[in-house]
Formats: sequence, C-alpha cells, structure tokens
Amino acid sequence: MNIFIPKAASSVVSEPIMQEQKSQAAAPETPVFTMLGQSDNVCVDGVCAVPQAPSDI
Amino acid sequence: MSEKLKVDIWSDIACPWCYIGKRKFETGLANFAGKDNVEVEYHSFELSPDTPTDFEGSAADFLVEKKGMPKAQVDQMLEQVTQVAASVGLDFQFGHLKQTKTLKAHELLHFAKEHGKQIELKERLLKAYFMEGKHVGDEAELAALAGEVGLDPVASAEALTQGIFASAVQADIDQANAYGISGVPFFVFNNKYGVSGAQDPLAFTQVLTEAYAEISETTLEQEN
Repeated sequence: MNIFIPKAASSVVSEPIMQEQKSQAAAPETPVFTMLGQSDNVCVDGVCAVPQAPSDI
Repeated sequence: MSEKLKVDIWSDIACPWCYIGKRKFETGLANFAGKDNVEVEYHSFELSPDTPTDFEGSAADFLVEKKGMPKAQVDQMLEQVTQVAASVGLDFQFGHLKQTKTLKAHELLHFAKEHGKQIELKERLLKAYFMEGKHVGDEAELAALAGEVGLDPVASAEALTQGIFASAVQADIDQANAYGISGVPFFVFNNKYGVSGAQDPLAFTQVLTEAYAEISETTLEQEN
C-alpha cells in the first residue's frame, strides 16, 4: 500500500479510442492497443488515487 | 468456438486498486456469457520497488514517514479506501498491514503459474496482505501461503531462495514498460484492447463481449 492522492475525475468507460503506438528501443514487443476504458482508479509510481466517497466508483 | 479469449492483467500485491479491480473484473467476467472460454494471466508490476522488505510500522506510518504525508490526511484516505473495498466485499485492515517489498511475492506468482496455481495464489497473497496482516515479503511466510493453495512449500521456498523466477518478474516489468503501462491494474484483452484501472463490472463485461465477438468472427471466417 502506497501513497494516495485525491481522485481527480470520474471514470471513463468504453470511450472511443485513442489508438496509440508505444515503442522503446529495448522493448521486448511493440504493441498497438485500442483503449476501451481508462479510470482514475489506479496506482502510479507508488501513488494511488482514492475517491472522495465509495459512491464515486 | 474453441478459441480462448486471453486476458493479461498487470498488477501488484501492494495495490488496493488492484485487489478492488480484481473483484470488479471477476464480477464482470461472471456476468459474461462466454466466461468458460476466457483465460486469465497475471503479470508482475512493482509499484514501489524501493520499499524495504521489513518496515517497522503500519501503513499509515509508512505514508507519513516515507512519503511525508500529514497523519490526518493519511487516516482519512485509508478510511475512504477501506470503505471502497468494503463496497466490493473486501475487509481491508490497514491497521495490521505489513508494508513490504513485493518482488519475492511476484517470483512466487510465477512459480505458481508454472504449477497451474497462479490465480489461487494471487487471491491468497492479496488477502494475506490487505486483510490478514501477513508479511508477504518474508520468504517463509510466502512458502506457507503457497502451501495453502496446494503448492509444495519446500519447492516454493527453494525457488524463492534461488531467485529462479526473478528474470520472469523482470520480463513482465519490461513488457509493461514496452506497453507504456505506468499504472496498475492494467488489463489487456487478446493482446489488442487495453483497459486501465478498477473499472465497474459492467465495463469489463462489455469489453469481454466485444473482444470475444471479434475472435469468434475471425474463427468463423477461417472456417469458411
């Protein structure tokens, strides 16, 4: 369990796509993803978002 | 239709959204008509690699001492996430949580995958960490937990001591970097569709339905 920050915005579900290509020189694979959902309910670099209330998620 | 829909999930043990997201995904999967043709695989992601194996103190102490957060703010945040967890049936006990580095837990998950027990061990480790105050950075504790899900605790302990799966953990982390994954949980469907975060179950059901329909169409085209 790591640090939390306040949740910034509501979840985004099944929104139209951002198709993006990520690549790195030493990467084992170069994927292309179609993102079908992005939520603030994640932990990033040891920092986890938290909702203001359970009903937020 | 015999082709499986593959779901790859990057997550950490020390990640409340990963456990909450796991529950939500499981609910979404249970509501998906093609659930018997879905294969789930968990991948390693270390959210905070610099966390010490042994930290004397609570989760709140860790946030205050290591992250510099005000105690009152930490207490409020832990209470909020506890309520969120409770809303999906998880009884988080932050007062008993043992903050630790999760590298060895990830190694054990790879050992479990090799023996067909990864799903069972993932759940066991998350429960042990968030609800039972167990030390999931301790190799003896990990071996005991492995035994609880039907793995050989002696072989588990040997694998951890020798670091046999350390390279597999690193490969998962490298793959996450290649995918551009910076936060967890992160779900990949059929190596094509990505979903970030602990979405609502309905969102998971929708993505499963869409991805499954696609492979079903592909299979039919190949058969024709």
